[in-house]
Formats: sequence, C-alpha cells, structure tokens
Amino acid sequence: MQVSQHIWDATSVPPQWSPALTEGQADLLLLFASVDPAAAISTLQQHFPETPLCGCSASGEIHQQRVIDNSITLTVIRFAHTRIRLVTECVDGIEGSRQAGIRVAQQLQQDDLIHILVFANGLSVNGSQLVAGLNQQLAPFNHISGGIAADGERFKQTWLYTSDGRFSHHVCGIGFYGQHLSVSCGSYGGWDPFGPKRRITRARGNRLYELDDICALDLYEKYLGHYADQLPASGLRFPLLISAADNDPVVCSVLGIDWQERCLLFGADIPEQHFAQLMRANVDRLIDGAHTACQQVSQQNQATPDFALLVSCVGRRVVMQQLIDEELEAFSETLGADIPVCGFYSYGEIAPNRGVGKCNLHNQTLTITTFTERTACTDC
Amino acid sequence: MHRLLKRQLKRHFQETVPETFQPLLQAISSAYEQADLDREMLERSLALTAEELLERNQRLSQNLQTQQQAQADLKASYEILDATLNASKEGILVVSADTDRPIAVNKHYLLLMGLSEERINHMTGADLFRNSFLQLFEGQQLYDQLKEMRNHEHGSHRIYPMRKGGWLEVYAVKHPVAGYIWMLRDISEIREKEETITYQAQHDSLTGLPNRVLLQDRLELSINRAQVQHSRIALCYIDLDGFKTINDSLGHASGDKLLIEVALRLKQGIKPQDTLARVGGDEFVVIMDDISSQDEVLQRADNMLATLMPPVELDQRSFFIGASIGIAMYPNDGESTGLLMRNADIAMYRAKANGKNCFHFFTPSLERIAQHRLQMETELRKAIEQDQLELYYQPKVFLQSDPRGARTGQLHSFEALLRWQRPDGSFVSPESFIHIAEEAGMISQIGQMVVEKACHQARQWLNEGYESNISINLSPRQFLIPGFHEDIVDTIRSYGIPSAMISVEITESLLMQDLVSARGVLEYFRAHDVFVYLDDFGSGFSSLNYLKTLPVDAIKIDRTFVRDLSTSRADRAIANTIITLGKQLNKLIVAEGIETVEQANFLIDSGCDLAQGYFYGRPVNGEAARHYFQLSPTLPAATSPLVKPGASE
Repeated sequence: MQVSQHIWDATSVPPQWSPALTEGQADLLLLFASVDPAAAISTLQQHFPETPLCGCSASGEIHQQRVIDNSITLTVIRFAHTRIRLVTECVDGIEGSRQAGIRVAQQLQQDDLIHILVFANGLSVNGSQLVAGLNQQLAPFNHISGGIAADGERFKQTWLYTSDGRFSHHVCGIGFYGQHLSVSCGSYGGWDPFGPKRRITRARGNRLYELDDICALDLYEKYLGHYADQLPASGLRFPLLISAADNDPVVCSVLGIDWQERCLLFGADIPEQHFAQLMRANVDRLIDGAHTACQQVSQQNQATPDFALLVSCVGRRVVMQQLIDEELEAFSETLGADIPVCGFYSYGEIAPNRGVGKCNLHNQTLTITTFTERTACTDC
Repeated sequence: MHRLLKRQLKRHFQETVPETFQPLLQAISSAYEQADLDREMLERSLALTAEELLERNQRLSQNLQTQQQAQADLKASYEILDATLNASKEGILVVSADTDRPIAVNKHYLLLMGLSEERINHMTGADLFRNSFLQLFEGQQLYDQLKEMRNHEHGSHRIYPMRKGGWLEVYAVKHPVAGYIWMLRDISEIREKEETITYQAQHDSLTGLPNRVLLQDRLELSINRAQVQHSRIALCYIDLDGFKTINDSLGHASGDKLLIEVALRLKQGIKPQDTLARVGGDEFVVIMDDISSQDEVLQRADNMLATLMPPVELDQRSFFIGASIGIAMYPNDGESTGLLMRNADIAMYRAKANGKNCFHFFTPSLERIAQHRLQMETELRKAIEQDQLELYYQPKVFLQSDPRGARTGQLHSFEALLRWQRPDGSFVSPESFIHIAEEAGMISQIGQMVVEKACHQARQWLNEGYESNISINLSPRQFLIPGFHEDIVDTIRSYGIPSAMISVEITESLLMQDLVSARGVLEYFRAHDVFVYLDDFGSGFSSLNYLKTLPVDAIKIDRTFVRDLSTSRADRAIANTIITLGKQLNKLIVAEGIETVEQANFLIDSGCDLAQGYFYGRPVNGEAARHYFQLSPTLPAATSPLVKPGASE
C-alpha cells in the first residue's frame, strides 16, 4: 500500500498540487476542503481519469498530523491487493436518510468486504438514520467509519465531492475488499456531563423543543450568556448526553437553530422521554480522549498502520482553539509520527462504539480509522 | 492583547518588544483569552447549575412534603377504609388481578372462611378459591361464578349452602383497578326467617298441618303426577261433627286442644305420603295418592273414622268426636283442584246428612242436590229480603174439661209455623229450607224474624181483644248464638205484651247438644215467664233425667206415637206412659198430629192435657186464625191456660 499526500497550491501560477502528483494510476483519492475545490478536482480528473475520488467540505483539514484551514488536501492511495468500490446515493429529503444507508450497504455488500468508509452531507442528511440504515442492512458487520461534511462554524452549506463534481444531498460509500487489508478503529470524546439530568419532554426527529417542559433554546441561551449571539457555533460548547435505560448514552451536538420555532437542531434524532444532560469540555480531558481513541486502535492492531483517517468534531476545535494540534500529537505519540494521516473537522463522526462495538454516529469525538495492507494474506 | 500579557510585558520588558515576537505574543494572548473564556464558561455553568440544583432541591423538598402529606392522608384514608371494611357484617376480599394476591380482606371474611390473618398472608387467590371450595357445598358453582364475574360488567351473584351449616350469599365483581372483589354475607338467619314465613304462610299455626294454600299446591302436584302416571287420587273432605258445641261450651282453648288431638289421630290414620291439611275451623282434607281401587279408599276412610272413635279427654271429661267425610276421586269426579274440592265438600254434606260419623263418595246426583241446595239458598235469601216468609198458626186445644171453665175442644193457644210461599203461590216446607238456613248462617236472622212476627201478631190480637199464647220453635243452631234468649225476651217486651203471651218449643236434640248452656237458657225463660215446650218427645234419645231436672213446662208427644194409636198397642202404651210420666212430673202434656176421632178419644181417655192436629185445626195465617177465636173463645187470662190443669190450686 502506497500513500502520497498533497495540498492544493492556489497561489502558484497555474495553481497546482504540491508536491506534484506522481505518474501512474491510483486506487483511491480522498479530498477534504474548506474552500471550493472545483479547479483542483478538474486537474485530478485529468491526472487520474479512472481513479475514484471521494471527499467533503470541512471545518478544518487534517494534513500530515497538522490542522490547516482554507485549504484543499488530497491523499492518493495505491493498494497492492485490495479492491475498492465507490457508490454515491442521493438522499431523498432528510427522512430518506435511512433508505439511502440501506441502498449504499446493499451495493457494497460482498463476501470479502473488510471495511466501509462513509461520507455524507451535513444539515441535509440525518446521520443517525443513515447509520441505522447501514446497520439494518449489514449487522452484525460493524466495520464502518467516516464522517459528516462540515461548513466551518457557519452551519449553512456542506458539500460532498466526487470526480463527478460536488453534491449537497448525498452520501458516498467506499467499500474495501480483500483479505490483505486490516482496518482498525478508535473513537472517544472526553466530555464531562454536568448539572441535572433533564427529561426530553418535546422533540421531533432531530429537533429539540423542550427539556423538563422548559424551552431548550432558553436553557442554552441562559448557559451561554452573551455567547448566545454566536449560536449555533457556541452551542457546540454544550453538547447533550442523551441516555435511556436500555441504551448506551450518545453525545449529540447542536448543528443549527430554528429561530422561528425556537428549537435546536441536532445531527441525530432526539427521542422524547429519554434523558438529556448538558456536557462541558475540559481541554485536558479532550486531549486525554484523543489518547484513548488512539489506544483503542493500537489494542486492535500492533503493526504500524500504512495510513490513518482522522475525523474529529468541529466542537472540539471550538473549545480547544490553538490547542487543537495536541489531539493530533496524541496520535503521533501513541501510533507513530511517520504515519500518513489525513482527515477533517466534521459535523458528525461515524465509527464503532469504542472502536469495536456497534457502529454509531458520534458527536464531539475524535475518530480514527487505520489501514494496514499486508503483503501476505494470513488467511490465504 | 490580553490584559495580563500586557502587564507582564510591561513588568518584564521595559523596551519595545521586537516585531519577531509578535506572532508568539498573539498566540499567548489568545491562549489567555481562551483560558478566560473557558473559566468564565465554567463559572457561569457552575453558578447556573448550582442555582438549578438548588431550585430542584427546593422543588424536591416541596414534593417530598406534599408526598408525605399525601402519604399521611392516604394512611388515614386507608385506616378509615380498613375500619369500614372491618365494621361491615359482610365478608370482603379483594384479589389483585395482576399478582393473584389478596390486597384487601376484612375480619368477617376470615371468620366466614375459617382463616386467620397470618394464614391469608401466605395465600394466593387460587389458594383462597380452593379454601372457599372446601367451605361450601356446591363449590363447583364457584367456577361458573368466576367465569360470570369476568364476563359480566355487573358481576355475579349466587347463594351457597355452607358446610358448617347455614347459607352464604356471594357477590363477585371485577374492577379495572382493584381486581376481583368478593363479598360474602351470612344469610342463614334471613333464610331461616324466610323459611319460617313461607312455612307459616303454608301451614296452620295450631296443628302444624298444611293449610289451604299448601294443600292447593300439593293437590296440583298430585294431579299432575296422576295425569302422567295415569293413576287415581282420592280427596277426602273431613268435617268434625259437633265440634262447635264443644268449642262454645268449653272455650277456645279446649277446642284447640281437641283439634290438635284430631290432627294427631288423623295423621296416624293416613299413609306417610298422603297430605293432611286443615282448611277451616273443624275441616280437614286428606289427599291420597296412587289409589288402586275404591275399596282401598273405603278402607282408609274407615280407618280415619276409627282413629277418631276413642273419647277425647278435655278438662277431665271425655268427649266423643265424630267426623263426616266426603270423598271425591280423580279423575272421575273432577280433574281440577277446584272441582275435586267442591265435590268432596258436597259428598261431605251428604255424609253429614246421612247421620254423621260416616263417609260418602261423591256421585253426580249429589252434585245435582248440591246445586239444588245452592239454588234454594239463593232463593231463601231473596225470600227473607222480600218478606216471603210468614207465620201460620195452628191451634192447640184443651182435651180435658177444666174446673176453671175450659172444656174439651176449646182453643188453648197457637203454635207458630213458618211458611214460605213463593211468588208463584207454591209453598216450600220448613223441612226443605230450615236446614239450609241453618247451614248458610241465616237462622239467626230467621229466628229474630219469627219472634218479631209472633209478637206483632200477638200484639194485634190483643188490640182486637183476643188474648192467646203463641209458641215459636227454636232451632238448635239458635242456641249457639250468644244472648239469643235475651234478645227474644227483649223483643217481646218491645211489643208491650206480657212475656207469657209467647212460649218456646225446643227439641230433645238441642238438650243433647249442650246440656249446661241449655239449662241456663231455659232457666232464663222461666224467670221471664216464657213457657217452654219440649217438642218431639220420645223421638230421640229421651232422657228421663232431663224431665226431672230441666225447667221444662210441657211435653209434646212425638207425632209418630200418635199416628198409629188406633192400631199399635205399643204406641198406645208409650203414649200412656209419657202422659203418666208427665203428670207425675207435673208437666203439661200435648199430643200433636191428631187427625182422627179415634186418636182424639184415646188421648182424652188417657188424660192428655192438650191436642194439636188437623182434627182440631190446620195451620192458617194470622187473619184466618181469628176464626178460631170466634169458634171457641179463649179463657179471659192468656196465661191461665198454660198453667198445668189443677196446678193453680
């Protein structure tokens, strides 16, 4: 497995990839951008006419264990044995998210399926329904990871990119096939719940209206003080821990506000009568969380990975600000400094619980997916 | 730049900070700002959380207080409910539909079901059901009741006999919240009372025998059974002979004792499966089922009469009680209860008419007689109303010449005889209607009418200057009417005529009926100058003792002895003996039924005092009777002829 990483240099004349793209075909192109990548994709279509391309808009790109903004990053992957397949599905309204997940899974499902990477639009796709659709079709298969496209801290418009252009209501799935590939996952947040548990007394889909019969938006405004002006971005400081008696608790982030209806919009469904507890960040605990995610990966695979995809929540960036690089340092400290890493800051992370459990949509976590291709297949 | 960084730079960097440090300083400044923001957020969060928690704590405290109050209220209301439950005389059990455990039970339930509080705590609904099953007869009905309770909104109600005795009323209902509610009531006492009431309604309180109501039921049952089995039934209507006399003379207490004794004896005379009922004062009915032949009935009726034969001891005296039995057979004599009862009653009257202490089977001819009697009764009532009854007067004449001037054939007095002339002019003889009047209870009315008419006639004659005594006949039934003799004397007085102008004629049978009260009545008449004839002497059980001790003034020789005087030596001897006896006892002797000169001559020769008969004069109405006065005027003093000839001396 060979991996090369490039940044789009828009300042050169003509704009070009840096370092320059090497000759020869590739198996997969991963592209993450927080600026319009139309020109960059155009060059790729010429350079790799046959290679599937997939990526999305971001709230910051992770490139070679650094966080950069306003850039376009590209990772070119060549496998020795592994096959891949890319499918794209249109999501028919937010209610069609589950069906889209099912269709993607149906197309990718094969006997030697090792892993699926999923990217979807944020705001226009219900992430939890999408994952539910994938699970419905594939369970107990749980090797699914990926993330939801982001739009900085604006929460206005997200994009999904393929060699065919950009999409606003879509989901992409990349299937990895063959026994030579080994994929490991890790996912952890590090947020602390605080204050009383509140019953969700009024909610519909991903819209939260009332907690303990009190307007949820009022509560957020009260806790944010004058930072309420910066909603929904400042809402990322207070994700909700949603729990019920029979389920693992799930962390949900605010992704939007409907000022007219005075409700909060989340990336996942908010079930009525479940309990919600506000969470807060402690920078040290978030960095510890990044370490925990890395440890989950290393526990699954002792070998040094050939490549890692990191998807981290925009909420973590909002809180950690300039300390954000520390969660990437946690990666290099735990798994190695030379591993090629790409990724982005998202509106939602998709990964198995604690790296090994049921696949879920997460918020406020750092999610790691490592790929290792062995020359000899252990099963062969 | 952050305030703190500015101060630090000022303190540690007096000179201007080189430009190359600017990005670093900017980074430090924003780190400070970020820390400030984080702290601010944290403090704000902590303050708000504390506030919220405090608020929640207060709310919880309030809730707790409210809950404690509610709990106290609940406890109080539970205690009230518990007390109410335990105060109830009904046993109450509530079993949870979810857990099948008893959730409420009162003491009365434990008592009724033989359980203790400790035991029931370890029992399930199924255990309690089994226990009830053991406590009750017909326990299998409980399953039906359980099913019914589950299916019916209004619950289920049943009554069970308890194994320990008595009755248990059980009401069960399903409640959506409470579960299965069972309510038990010991209704033994109520049931017993109901049974007593039913028993009393169907039985005669004196003898304990079935009464007319129960008899009706039993007879219907017997008829239905006989209809199915094509068998025969005998219905015996029993009427005691002479009971009323005993009742009136000895009092009701003795009468009751007699009835009890009779009931006992009759019971001994019937089969266990027969029904013996008391349907009236001295009337009993026996239903005999499954009769094989008329002979069998005959024998059993005989048996019944035989059981009544031995004398009954009452107030240290012995009484003979007889009975008249009328028998009707199903299906020949009737197929309904009403017809059988009526026909047995008709047959009973015939038995009574046949001389009492016997039985008679119903026959169609009896029915005709009964119908005739009914018709007579109706007509008689009408006759009394329309004054169709009138008195005829037959003269009694002197047979012997009297030193005071009376001569043979001279008018002595009259006997008033009742005549009933129908509107069509036909006459009905007293023999045909007097007994009907007696049985129909009209004798009192007729008796009074006779006295009135006789007094009225005497008064009228007196006004016309004729002074003659009129004797009236008293029915034995009249003697049973309390105070009748006083009424007679009062009536005579009310007409303003001397008491001696009216005399009474009584029969021997009357004396036999009740000697004690008869003596009292006769003494009363004597005390008020009402002359007493002993009628039909010699025709019955003539007791010479009566003649000796009773205040009787005259003896009338029965017409049967007079009829054959010319041909029968025996009759002549009897007549002679009576006349001699009367003379010896100082009684006036009257011979009646004299129709021939031979009879008259014999009686004159024998020394008989007075005579009455067609030979001397037929009975005629008041108007025609004047003729007798004109033929042979009576002696001036009305009372004088009544005195025994020679007695005045």
